[in-house]
Parts: sequence; C-alpha cells; structure tokens
Amino acid sequence: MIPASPALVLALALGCAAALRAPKPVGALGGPVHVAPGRSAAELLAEARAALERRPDVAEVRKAESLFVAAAQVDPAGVEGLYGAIEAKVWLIDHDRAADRGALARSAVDAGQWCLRRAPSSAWCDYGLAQALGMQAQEERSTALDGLKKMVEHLRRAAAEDPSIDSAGPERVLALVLVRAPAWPLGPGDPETALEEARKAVARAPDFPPNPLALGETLLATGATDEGRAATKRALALAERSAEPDAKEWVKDGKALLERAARPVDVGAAR
Amino acid sequence: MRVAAAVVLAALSASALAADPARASRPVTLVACAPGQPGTTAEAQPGMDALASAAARAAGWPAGALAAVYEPAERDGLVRLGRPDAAAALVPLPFVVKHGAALKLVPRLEVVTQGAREPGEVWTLVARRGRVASPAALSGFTLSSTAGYAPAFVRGALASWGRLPEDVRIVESSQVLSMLRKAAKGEPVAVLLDGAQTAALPSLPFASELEAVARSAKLPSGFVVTVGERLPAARWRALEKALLALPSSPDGASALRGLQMERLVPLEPAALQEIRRLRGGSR
Repeated sequence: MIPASPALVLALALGCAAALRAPKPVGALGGPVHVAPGRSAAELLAEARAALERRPDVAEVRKAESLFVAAAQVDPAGVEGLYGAIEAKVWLIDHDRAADRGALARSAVDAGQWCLRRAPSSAWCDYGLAQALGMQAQEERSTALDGLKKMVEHLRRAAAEDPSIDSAGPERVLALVLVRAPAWPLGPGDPETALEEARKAVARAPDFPPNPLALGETLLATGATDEGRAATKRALALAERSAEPDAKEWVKDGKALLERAARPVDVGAAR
Repeated sequence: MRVAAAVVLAALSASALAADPARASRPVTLVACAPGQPGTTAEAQPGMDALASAAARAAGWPAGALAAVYEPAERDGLVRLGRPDAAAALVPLPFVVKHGAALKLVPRLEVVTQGAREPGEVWTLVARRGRVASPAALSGFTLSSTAGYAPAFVRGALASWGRLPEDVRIVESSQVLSMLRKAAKGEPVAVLLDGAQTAALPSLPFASELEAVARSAKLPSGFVVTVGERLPAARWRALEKALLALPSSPDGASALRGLQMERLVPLEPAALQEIRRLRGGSR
C-alpha cells in the first residue's frame, strides 16, 4: 500500500479537454511480465504487493504494476489488482525517469474506470480513480480543469463510502486538491474546506505523517501560520520515526513545507 | 483621442530611428502579469512558449526573437518589466491603471476573453442581501477583490454608483470564495467580482444570501501594451499584425485558448479614456 501524499502534485493549467474516455482493455494496461500458467489472482497479488514494498527500486515497482494488471485479468471481478496497478503507476510517474508519464497517467485513469465498472460502490475504486485523474491533470494539462473537478467528486464519494481507507486517504487527498487547485470559479480550489477535510483526516488517523502534513499545508494556506508550523513539525517528527518505505519523502516534504512557512504568506494585503 | 494616440506612435517612431541600431533586432520578451489569477511561472511557461512561438512565426521573426513569460505576482511582474528585454506585456486593466504611467505602458491591443464575443467585462460588487443599500453603508467594511492591489481601479470602477467612504479597507485577495462566505455570514465584507466570477456566483450554495449591489460600466479586460520605447515601431507593427492574426492559424488559436483568450483586437479610443478616468478614481 502506498499512501497518497503531498507528492501528488496538482496541475494548475487551464486546459478544458475531457478527462475520461473509453478505457483500453485491462490486458493493455500493464507492461510485459512473465506469468506462469495456472497462477491464481491471490498468488499474483501477493507477489505484486511484495514487489511494491521494495520501492524505491523502480524495476520492482514496474514488475508490481504488471503483476497487479495480470491479477486483474485472471480475476475478472476483482478490484484489488486494478487499485494496486493505479498505486504502482502513480508511484512510477513520480519516480521513474525513463517512464512515459503521460501514458502511465492515462492507463491509471483507465484502470480506475475498470475498477468502478467492476465495483461501482467501492471506496478504493473511487479513491484510485481520483488519484489517477490528479496525475493525469499533472501530466496532460489539457485535462486539468475537468480532471480536478471529477477528482473532487470521486474523493467525496470515496469519503462517503469508507473514509478510513489508506489512513483517511480520501479526506487527506481531498484536502490537498482543494488547497492546491485553481481557486473558484476556475477550479475547485477552496482552502477553507481543505482545512476542514485535513482536520477530519487527522482526527481519523492522527499518527499517520501525511495527515498532519496535509493539515500543516492547509493551515498555512489559510493564514494560520503558527498552527501550520506546529502541525508540520509534528508530521516531521512522526515521519522521522516511521519505518514506512515512503518515510524519507514525507520528511523531505515536511522540511520543504517548513521552509515555505518561513517565507511571508500572501493572504491579502490592505491597501 | 486618435490624434493623441497618433502623436504617441509618431514619437516612438522618431525615437526609434535615433536609437541604437542593434535594438532593431534584439530578442524581446512579452511579460504577462495577472495578480490574483492562478498558476505559477513554471506552470504557465508551456502556454507562454506557445504564444511566443505562434506570434514570432506569424511575424516572420527567427526562433528566439520573441520570448514570453508569466509572473503571477504584482511585485515579480514589476521586477520582470524592469528588465530591458521586457518590451511588451499582457496585463489586466487594474494593472495598467496602477502602473501604466510609472512603467510607461502604452496600451496597443485589447483582449477578448474566451467565450466572449467582444472585449470588455462588467465588475459587480456583492454583499450580504439587504446589508448595503448605498456606498455610505460600506463605511468600516473590507472590500475584497482580485483587483484590490489597484485601489484606484476599485474606486473608479464603482464611481458611477457613488463615492466609497474613505474608511473602506480595500484588500487584494485571490481567496474569493472565502471572502464571499464571510460576506454571506454577515461580516462587514463586500466583494468586487470580475465578469467570470459574477457569472459563476449563482452556482454557489450560499448565493441566495448575497446580492449584487453595484455594477461597473463595461470595462476593458486586459491589454497588450508596449513598454516605453523598447520595441522599435517597425517591430511593433510586425508583432501587432501577428498577434491580431493568431486566431487564423491552428497554433495561434491553440496558444490563445491556452491563455483563456478568444482573440486580440485593436484598441478602441474609449479604452484609453477609461484608463485615464480610472487612474483618477472618478466618474
């Protein structure tokens, strides 16, 4: 499991192309991988998860991506493989310098759409599609406006279905989208609602470092500088003690946020 | 008005002839600055590159002869416009009202925003329903706007409604939604919305708590301006022709779309009159 974190950078471009289109077949969503005949979806998922845990080894995450897709093919009703493929693709977009990032983002959106076709009320599928749309907005900026609006819709659905997944992931990612997206009326940006969502995420999973990190970012964006710094320092302390594979990135994000907090915040100046 | 504009152009042409000959071919930069609008310099760069490339191609200029850059913050825009290669700019009306004289910005073309048929937009002052019946009722209020960085513009845009009290606190904020919420809750806040924001207002869940208390006349949205005498007259004429022709080429039309513009049109004399009126903050 890769928790969605502030590394999920959002595009702020102004494009207006449709973010969703007819998805490619599931079999076309992964890279080449040798799968021995007769292997079950459960076996493939277990191998994929083990490979994903070996990040930041890029080759292992690529392998995980393909194994997740293979599992989704073997079990035509299952969604774990599709969500896992999205996780792997999102991670590769951020870390694999050799990757075709746009193609990865498009295929992540396709995986999210297949996931929802198989399980229309699955919080994981809504959450996965939302993350994929965010990455696509970043990589293909023409889809940003439509993509960000749909991303918010799917995150709200995921939060309504099961807010606890991925350590309060739907509320955390919703907070990050709302605080980083273009402001009303162009985009869904709304720092005050972002702060409410970040508070919910922290209340649900207070010791998961990306949650206080999101709270710190939203507090800083709404002008609560001291509180924002405190939340960020708490996130940093938690991240430094964490044994998660992504802990180093959380530490880096926390330090960058504190550095930003040291600079003046533009929340409107009197004239 | 036309005479005055012609005099300005003649003066620029004359000074161009007397100036450094190298200036005639030096690479120039178009600086876009729109305080209060979303996006960063890096995020906007692909769109700016597309605009520069399409315009340079249409003008018959060599690659690299025209660059374009976006600075979202007023202060950074001013710094960038201070550099000698910044020969032209794409800026909103409030920016021209505030900085036009000091920076020697000469409005040349008017922006038609995406979806609009003609240039110009109406600004609308919004407050809690029933709270503001006249300008005097704004005493002690905070008046927020993305154009709040140019208080003379704000006062001038609302001048036909009446004179704003001296103690109105005009603030710049890109957090329009937040300010509208405050107004709807009954805080002493009014918000001056641009055309796009006004059009989207009914979609807000708390829109019924708010009302439009004043509207500006139709005002220009933005301009392409030249900066001082940095662009020789002959080069401006070529660039002007290229910018006007952008919608007729696929790359030009795409570049305009990327910047939320329909097209650029020749400046109407009335636009210059508006700028002068707004600089004075008067009717």
